[in-house]
Amino acid sequence: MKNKFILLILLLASPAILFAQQKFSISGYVKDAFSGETLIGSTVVIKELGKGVNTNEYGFYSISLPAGKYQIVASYLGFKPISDTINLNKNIKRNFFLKSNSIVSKEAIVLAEKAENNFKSTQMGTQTLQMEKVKTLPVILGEVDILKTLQLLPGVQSSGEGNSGFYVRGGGPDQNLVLLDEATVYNSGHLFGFFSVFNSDAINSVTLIKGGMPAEYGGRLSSVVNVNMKEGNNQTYHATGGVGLIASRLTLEGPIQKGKSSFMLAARRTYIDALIKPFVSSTSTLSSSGYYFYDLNLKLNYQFSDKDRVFFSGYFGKDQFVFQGERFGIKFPWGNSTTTMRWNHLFNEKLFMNTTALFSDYIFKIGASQSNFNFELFSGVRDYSTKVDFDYFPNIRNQVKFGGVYTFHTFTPTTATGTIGETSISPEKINRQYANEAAAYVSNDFDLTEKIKINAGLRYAYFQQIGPYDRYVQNDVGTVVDTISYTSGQNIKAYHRLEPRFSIRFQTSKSASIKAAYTVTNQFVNLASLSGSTLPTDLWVPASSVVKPQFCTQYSIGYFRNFKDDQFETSVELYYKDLRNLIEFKENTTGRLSANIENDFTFGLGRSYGAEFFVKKSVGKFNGWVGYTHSYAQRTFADLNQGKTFFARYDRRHDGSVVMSYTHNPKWTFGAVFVYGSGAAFNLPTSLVFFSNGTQGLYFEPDYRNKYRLSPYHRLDLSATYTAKKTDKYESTWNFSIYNVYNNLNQYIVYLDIQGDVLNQGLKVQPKQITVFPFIPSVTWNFKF
Amino acid sequence: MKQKFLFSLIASIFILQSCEKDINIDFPIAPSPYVIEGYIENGQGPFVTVSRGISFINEISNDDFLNLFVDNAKISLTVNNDTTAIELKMVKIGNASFYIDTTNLIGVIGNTYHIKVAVDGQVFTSSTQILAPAPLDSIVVEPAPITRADTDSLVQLTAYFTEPNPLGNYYRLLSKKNNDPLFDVAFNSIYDDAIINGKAIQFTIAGGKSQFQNNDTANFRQYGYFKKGDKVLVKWASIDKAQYDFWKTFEAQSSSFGNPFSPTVIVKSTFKGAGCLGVWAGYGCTIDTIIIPKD
Repeated sequence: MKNKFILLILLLASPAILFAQQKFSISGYVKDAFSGETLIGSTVVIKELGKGVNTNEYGFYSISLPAGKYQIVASYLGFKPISDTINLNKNIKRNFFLKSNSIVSKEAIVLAEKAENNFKSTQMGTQTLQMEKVKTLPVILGEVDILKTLQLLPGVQSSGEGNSGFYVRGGGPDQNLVLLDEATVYNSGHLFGFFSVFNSDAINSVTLIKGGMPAEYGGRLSSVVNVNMKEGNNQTYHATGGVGLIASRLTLEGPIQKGKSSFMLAARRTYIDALIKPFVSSTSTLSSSGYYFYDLNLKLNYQFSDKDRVFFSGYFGKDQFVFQGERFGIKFPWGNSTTTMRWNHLFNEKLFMNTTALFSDYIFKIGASQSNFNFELFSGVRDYSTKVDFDYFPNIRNQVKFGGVYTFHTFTPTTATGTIGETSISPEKINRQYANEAAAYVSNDFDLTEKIKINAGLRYAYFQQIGPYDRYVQNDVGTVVDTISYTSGQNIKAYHRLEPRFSIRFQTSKSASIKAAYTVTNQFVNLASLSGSTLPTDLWVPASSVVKPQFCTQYSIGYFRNFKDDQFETSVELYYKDLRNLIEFKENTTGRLSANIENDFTFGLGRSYGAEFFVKKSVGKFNGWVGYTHSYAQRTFADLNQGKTFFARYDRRHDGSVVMSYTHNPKWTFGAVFVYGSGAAFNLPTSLVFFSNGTQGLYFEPDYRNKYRLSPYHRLDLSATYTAKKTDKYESTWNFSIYNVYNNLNQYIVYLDIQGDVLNQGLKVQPKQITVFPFIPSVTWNFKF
Repeated sequence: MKQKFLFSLIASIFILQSCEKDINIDFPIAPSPYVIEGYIENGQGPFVTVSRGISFINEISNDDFLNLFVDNAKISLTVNNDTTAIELKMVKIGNASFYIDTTNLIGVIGNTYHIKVAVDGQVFTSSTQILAPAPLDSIVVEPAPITRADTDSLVQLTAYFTEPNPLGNYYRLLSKKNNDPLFDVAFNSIYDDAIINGKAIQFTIAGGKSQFQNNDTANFRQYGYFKKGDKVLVKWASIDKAQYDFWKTFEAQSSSFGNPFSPTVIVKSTFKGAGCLGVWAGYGCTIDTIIIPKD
């Protein structure tokens, strides 16, 4: 282990060792000429060397070279490349403003990465989706949903039909770090997860990292989903919007000071409640029942100079469900809010800094009333974070990243307050949990030889639970026998972890490479979920003296090859994940209120492994991808399933998808998605039992866990996008989608319907399946002016 | 009707046109568990039944149910640290079999009762204590909160209760009206004192659920209420944690039937021994009688 770290430090220090001669640098930003929007991940190549760099998250690049004349080309898929000859005899600043190539962009390119990255970069298991391109694919109920599109990639599975929750490479739903402009989004779903919180009009791009997680990310075991909001057009004012079956959207953007600053404001709201209102009499109890959700996204940015730029972005979303029945009323609102403030600063041509202050908040509430009984349950999590990240470009062969992050977490457990008659049942204090989380990292992405490129990184992670906190110590039967009270700021438990990250690319030919990656990650905050899917009621719980951090070691290896001048990108990746300290609820947990939810947990091991096959065509009139995953996900817990290994709920033997898009002409674009997956694992009782008064119960064998499978899942979706009008000033498009074209009644859940009374006429037992989304056509009108 | 339609409209938009279909499942063949249900309370003798579970078949008749009763079990009780075991005696009422005491064993507050059930070569054991009762302060008859043609003869019973300290008490509420042979429970029959510890509270006494188990909506509107003129017996029992856990998981499982978001709930048996599901329940109880005036 020690040797490994020494090796890592040597690798990280290699830029200094390898290159000591005098050089000049060329640096700048790559942006969209029309909107001023930065082009993240665009490529800047030095023709003479056949080498290039990608712009970072802020569109910045820097290349250091020996003095000389070079031809430099900046390119981004869907944009006309710009080529320029420079005489590098001093440090040069050069910004590239790329113009959208209207012919190319019409061709509906779904993945916007530079195709060469497939085999040239060290990065494995990473995909970037460009929002504009995702919009031509079929959607359900007219709502474009980036998280559902991610589920079509190999290694990513839906947590349920039509659900935006997802599992990556056999990991749980809480093991995905979902970032919106770098702020953690704790609950990424609306309407119990059927829609994601990301309004497609407000999003610029999304990157998914499922393997070979770089050192700048941490805190989750399975994946990073990095969502970037649009910055807003800094040249002209625009309004974008859409009217769908269940929701409408409107986005406004424009310059505050032309070329220097811009704003973007996006709003979306569902209107099922409003549509139903006219049909409900005002005296009916239903008139005050309903459901809606809304989202607001705001982003502002200001460029002070070439060296300094500030961003402010915020998200606020809320779901509200209200039911007013005859005997009782219930109301539950829940929602996220995030705030990001960023300052980009360029120290010099080689050193780029981003400083960020972040706020993230998730709240869930249930209020209920019944005659003289009123109560409210609430829970949540709140983070204040600050982080600083540096990009250092010492020369064209090295790209160094380093930085640190600190977060203060507050976790509110499910807490009940209320009144029964005139008596208050509110607790004297809320037993919140407080924690400090910090990390520091350094990584270098560098060419060791012409053929070998390495990304080596090291992350140090620290987590500490601090008081105040009351810990209830339970005996074997679950009776509280002692209470340990911690005072404010008192150290309860601290964890220190080192996480090496390493990936290597070995180029085997002009268009092929073998890559391998080794990643260690720890997770200090966990979602306590009984359902196996993400629900708004699920509770975030920190590592503590009882809950150890979840821990994962992932090994992956892959072969990457492009065909036909990079028209086709292909890859095969194998992965193996060793998971420790996984959390499940103890057997017999019912999910009722618990004084210390940690007391309901039990801990175990997991492993998952699989093979992912991917073929992608990004250019041309006809493009899309085919992905297939063959995988296993297993769990072993001493206190569950009699200690026998069982399959995770999201174990899937086969999981495949075909995604296609075809641009017929400037007016019509067609899309198709086909999905096939093995059935999800579920539990089935073996016997029905009765009590003497005739009430029945279900008996499960002691090793009952996930032994049975729903039937395999498959469906076909089709879409057609019609551009009714497109000029520089006005654009109007219609999206017609059919979800589940051949109306396959996929099993969402299987349950036993038991009717009757065994004491009299007898019982009828009928297994039933519920299908959530049969054939669903939808139409959405989108506009832009 | 209009309301029902509108509700299903809302529901269908929420669940987005979900549809339901009968399917066939090849249920696993597995040994049926033994089901043991036993009670002992202050002032009463023990009462135990033993039955087998039944594999899933499409229809289970009353005869099938009665055939599940086991009449060859050997059941013995010991009290506190006594070494002498008291054998229970099997009695048959029709096809159903019960185990009762014929030696004048009466439940006493504070005593712990150990049960041992031997059947077909297997032994299952459990223990329960009859805890000190915590009587209700009073029970008040109030009109049902909604009045309509079909509900104006209904009333609700409100209990006033001062919950004793310290934390860690558990209760079960049962009721019986008029000539019902047995005490019945509501869908939720148990309470803990996690949020009411030491407080004076009031709560509604929901009547038994047995007669409302069919999905008869009109009938179901009357669930929980009592009728004017009813004679109601309210049994309020202090129970131990193991018993509470059994009922808690049992009721959570019942309420999760058919709920797609609900996790699997495994009922927590109070008995030791594999292949058995059961409860050995000691009640430290008080029984209040309420005669609801006719007007």
